[in-house]
Amino acid sequence: MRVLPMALFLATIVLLESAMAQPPSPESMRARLQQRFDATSPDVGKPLPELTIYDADGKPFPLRKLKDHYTVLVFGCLT
Amino acid sequence: MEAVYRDYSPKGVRFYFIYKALAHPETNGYVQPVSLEERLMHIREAKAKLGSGIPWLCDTMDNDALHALGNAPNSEFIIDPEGKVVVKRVWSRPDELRKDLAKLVGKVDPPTRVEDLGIRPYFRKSTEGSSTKRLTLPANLRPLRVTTALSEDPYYVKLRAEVEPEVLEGQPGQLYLGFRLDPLYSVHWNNLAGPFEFEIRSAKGVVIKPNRGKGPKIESETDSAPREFLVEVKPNGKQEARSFQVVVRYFACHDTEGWCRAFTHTYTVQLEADPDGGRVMRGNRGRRGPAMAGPRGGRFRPPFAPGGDRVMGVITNVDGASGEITLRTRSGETQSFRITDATRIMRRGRGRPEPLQRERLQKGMRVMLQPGKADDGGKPPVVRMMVMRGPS
Repeated sequence: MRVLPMALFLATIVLLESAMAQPPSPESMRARLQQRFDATSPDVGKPLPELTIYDADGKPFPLRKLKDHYTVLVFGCLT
Repeated sequence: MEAVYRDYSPKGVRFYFIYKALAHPETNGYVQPVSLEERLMHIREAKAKLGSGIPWLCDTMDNDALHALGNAPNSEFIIDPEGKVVVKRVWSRPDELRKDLAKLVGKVDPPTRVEDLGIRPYFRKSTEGSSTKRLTLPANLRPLRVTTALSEDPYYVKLRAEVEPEVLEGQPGQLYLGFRLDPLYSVHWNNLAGPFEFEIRSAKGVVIKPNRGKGPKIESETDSAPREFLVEVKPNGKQEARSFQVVVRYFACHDTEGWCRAFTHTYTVQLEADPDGGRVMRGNRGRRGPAMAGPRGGRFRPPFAPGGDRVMGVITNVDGASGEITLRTRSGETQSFRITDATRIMRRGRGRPEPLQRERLQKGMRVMLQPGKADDGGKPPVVRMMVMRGPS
């Protein structure tokens, strides 16, 4: 009778280790991305950060210029 | 996105793409730019590739805008006329964006359809070829910060340095050094001259063995395959700022300008993870990233041909008559492909991938596919293999 609890305990350890060894699922990666996005992007109703980036010719482009119109910003790259 | 832009820019809405670090370096051969000038070259390439009229802005080389606006590779925002955020979305959704803009500035009826745009993005094919045997890499490698020294010549060759995670914790492990020709410069290795060489110098707080190496002897006169090395790295002492330099010497020729020259580049590598280094999606990588369950709970690896391009996205249209499907890719582009009888279609099943009939393809399915060569007659490329990745 003492063998059964020990076997259950060992099986639990094996299952836990197996679960921890699995790579993150797409769902958990999406959840992490959403959490990071929520934590580090400005809240709705808040202004854009005071930053200067560049236009396509390499000239400085302050984000504060994005006023007087509705503006859509989308991040992207070649890959 | 282009259709939304065509409908709403006449209503006074301004649109901008913001170009930042590559999310998936090496896809289609592209490598991370090392200067603002090179990132602007990427923008020109993106403009030509996508055929979009939406203007581009360029993030700083430190990716300040990306970090300040949520650290997501394809996020979108609507900014009101006072400069305040009114909508933010972790992943760009043109259909949702259209609804938001309809509420803010009014509905456009009828809306422009994607097929009305007449845009057919072209995709640069990787010219890496298969003249050298690719290394099989350890799992879960982490990209390191790499900077380049000032140079009169462009860095035609880009270094990607990655380590096993335990190295970042001060434990010994493997260091991957991958040297790739930047496709934007149209240069290739000159194999008639000496082979590619690298040397590790000025190592601080780290021992690397071997500390030098040579590329393989290639039979063809020229090629563009990466030169890859795996070496042992051992952090030592309690030094916090660990770094080393990599000096490379190689011979290259320009495809159109006709010159062949010897080059020496120096890269400085910090032994710290680069959060903007992106994730490489290639077949020679170990277990990393999103996984699909496979037989006996193991990982299912779609048997795509090595070295080919892969496209991930959601099916937005299925034309049963022509066999064409349209995808909204993960980067927000719209691409069309052809499904033929030769296309191998698989679906992630319960523990084992199952074949799927082409008639069962439908809108909303998330897929990963490997296209063949584009058709000369302007038809979309035929899909060699496609794997369902679940519902949208």
